[in-house]
Amino acid sequence: MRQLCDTIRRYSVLYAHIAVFSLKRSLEFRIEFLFSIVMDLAYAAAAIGAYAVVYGHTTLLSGWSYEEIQIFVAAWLFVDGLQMVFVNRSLAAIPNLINKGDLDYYLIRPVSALFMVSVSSVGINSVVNLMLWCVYLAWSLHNYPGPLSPLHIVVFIALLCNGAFLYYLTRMCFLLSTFWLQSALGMETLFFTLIRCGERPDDIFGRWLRRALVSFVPFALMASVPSKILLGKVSLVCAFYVGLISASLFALLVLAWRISLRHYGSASS
Amino acid sequence: MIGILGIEFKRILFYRGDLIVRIVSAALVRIVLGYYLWAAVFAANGGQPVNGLSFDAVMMYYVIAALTANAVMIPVGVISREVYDGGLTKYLVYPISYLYFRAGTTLANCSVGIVQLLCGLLFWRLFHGTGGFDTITVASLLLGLISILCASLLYFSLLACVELLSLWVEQAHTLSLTVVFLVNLMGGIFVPISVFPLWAQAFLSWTPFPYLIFYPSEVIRGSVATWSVVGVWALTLVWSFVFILGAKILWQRGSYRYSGVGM
Repeated sequence: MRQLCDTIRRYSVLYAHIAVFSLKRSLEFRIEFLFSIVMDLAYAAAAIGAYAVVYGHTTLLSGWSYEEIQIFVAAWLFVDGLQMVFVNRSLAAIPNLINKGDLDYYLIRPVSALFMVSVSSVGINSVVNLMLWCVYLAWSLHNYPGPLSPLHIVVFIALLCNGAFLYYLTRMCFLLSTFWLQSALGMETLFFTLIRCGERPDDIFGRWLRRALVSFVPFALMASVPSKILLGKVSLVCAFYVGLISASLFALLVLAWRISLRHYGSASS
Repeated sequence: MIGILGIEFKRILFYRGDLIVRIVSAALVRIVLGYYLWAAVFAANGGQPVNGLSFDAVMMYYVIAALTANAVMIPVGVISREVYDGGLTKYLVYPISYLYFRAGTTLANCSVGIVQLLCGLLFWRLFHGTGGFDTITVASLLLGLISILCASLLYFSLLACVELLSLWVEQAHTLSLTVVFLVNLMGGIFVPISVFPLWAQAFLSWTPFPYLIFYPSEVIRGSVATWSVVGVWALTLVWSFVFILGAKILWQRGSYRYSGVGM
């Protein structure tokens, strides 16, 4: 137990240093800071605008009202904001690390290489947008005409944080293909294409696609299912199922990482 | 130009797996998402046409738009990455303009996209039937392919203007992604422009975005009158000229700032 606490403290201090370094680096490139905010705003405008147009022609979309869809969109943006801040930059660098052999520098360090490649850079640029999405989420919850219990809201927020974790796990599983294919371009494109399924409530999909989206490609568990739990469309017990899938996927990732490292051929001298 | 096309075709076809995954997955997911979204809308409104569009017509639009997007929307970040990595240096000694070279590679990518569009339409016709195909003719297809070539030029010139800003700022590729997100909504990929409110359609007609995906798709679908197609081409080329002019100015001023430190 004491060893576990020491490990957690050590990794926390390490992460704090990484965050400070990322902050200093971000402040050196202020224009990039502004461009990132503009990019995220454009992404959100496209997501919100599309549903605004669709709801101009219907009041319900597979049982979702416009206020409920706003909660779902805000939830998705919140999940996206979390992953943009905590893991996006690090994950984008992984294919280069593997192909150029720079992964060696992480493998020889006395900390988990998986931890280091996953959080090597914090997206300070996206913190502003994450705060905006928090405000939008709060507004959409406030705007909802139905009752929302505090317990459901707490579980909802926890599941959204888990949604960002699921995003990381799923994307890492796709990126591990770089160890074998030497190019992650196809798999990254496939991931960013499939993730669009997470931008829609899973109720609009057919039965078999919905089953896939709540199991081995858990995009619906990131924002759609948490929103449904909040709105009472599914039972609170489903939160345990989401946790189970996350734990299983994490175990799978750790195993896949270890197998992938055996296939890693350093390219550096 | 033929030499440039040859080089780019070889480069594109070298990673065939990546190409197939990129083309098939992008188009397939867009079509599937469009299908389920509008199936839900039509189920909710009792199958009534939406702004005059039946479900078959909407689905036909999504199929064509998804395939058109593959042909028009070249991968982003090429120019900004070459500026950042220093890969631009080798192009400075080429006996042709860098922008002309990049336009040639865009044409090559568009040509590959046009082939996949024709294959995709044939596949859809064979496996889905004639629903939505009644307005598509050989003439509309040919006019649509010319519209796609014009749209591809417009998209390239728009992206070039944005990515050449990397000669001044470090990470301009985020602006390229901003353009992609805006095209997704205002270009008609997420939803057809014809289902937008009238005020939004009027506003968008003053922007270059509908000429990238929406109008070429509608020309192929046969829902744009022949003389109006000429108007679409004209406006697409006018916008292209504006952005090409901007790109040339940015290149002339920015190339003196380039230092090639990546090499």
